[in-house]
Amino acid sequence: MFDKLTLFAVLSAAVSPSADDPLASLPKERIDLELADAPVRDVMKLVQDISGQPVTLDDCVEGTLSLKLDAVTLRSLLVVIGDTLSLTYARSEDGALLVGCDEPRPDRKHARVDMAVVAVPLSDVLGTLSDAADMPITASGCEDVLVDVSTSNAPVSAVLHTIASQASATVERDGNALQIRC
Amino acid sequence: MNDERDAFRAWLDQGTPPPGAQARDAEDAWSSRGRPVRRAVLMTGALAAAVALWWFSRPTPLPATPEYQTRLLVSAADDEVRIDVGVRRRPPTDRDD
Repeated sequence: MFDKLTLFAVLSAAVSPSADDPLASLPKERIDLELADAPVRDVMKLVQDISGQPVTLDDCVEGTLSLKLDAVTLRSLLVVIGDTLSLTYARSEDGALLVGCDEPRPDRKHARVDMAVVAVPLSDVLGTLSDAADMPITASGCEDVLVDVSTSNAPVSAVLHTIASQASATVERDGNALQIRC
Repeated sequence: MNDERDAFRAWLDQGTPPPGAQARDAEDAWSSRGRPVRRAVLMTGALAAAVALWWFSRPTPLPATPEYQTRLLVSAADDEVRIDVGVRRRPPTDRDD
């Protein structure tokens, strides 16, 4: 039960453009980037430079990353980095993005998904994500949307956000479920 | 019976067709002329039906957008995440009306 609630909170925070979502105010532009074995602190500094928003790192934030991005939003990037390195995000009162560390416990690892589909209705993909996350994720007004999705070891929240961003859709909470509105 | 035979002989001798023969000839001629026309009409109808069947059963064409518009590959230590996403919008078809 706790894990379900935690996952719901993570999914909601990752995709919902609400005031309590620390990543909601990041710019929506998509970036291309390729880095090999870059310290995560350097990557976060890059995020600060691109977004124009101050990023404050806790001392615990460490590690290296290799990135290859084509047309990826900062939000998708941070969700994946956060999930991969067990980082947490929050906003300070002055609007700075605070990056901290979560305990890297395997049981807190967010739902990951492998899938490869081409030109399938969005509702089918959401069904797969819904099963992986063990929570209802539905679409509204997206009947004409077909998606190509290929993922490997990808956090459900990041996949969901990436699809929503690509389809110019919003993700809303609906009770204990999430709904993509096109 | 004799009348009929006489009439036939007269036709052979004078080129006058016996009663009813002319009508039968005309009917046969019409029948043989009409056969190819009927065949053409039937074939055209069958072809039209086949085309209609194909038109309404063909798969909806996919919009020709790039398959993947967003690609993300992040690796850290032994953890690697890959997400490739592309979105297409199905064009409206006549059948959607």
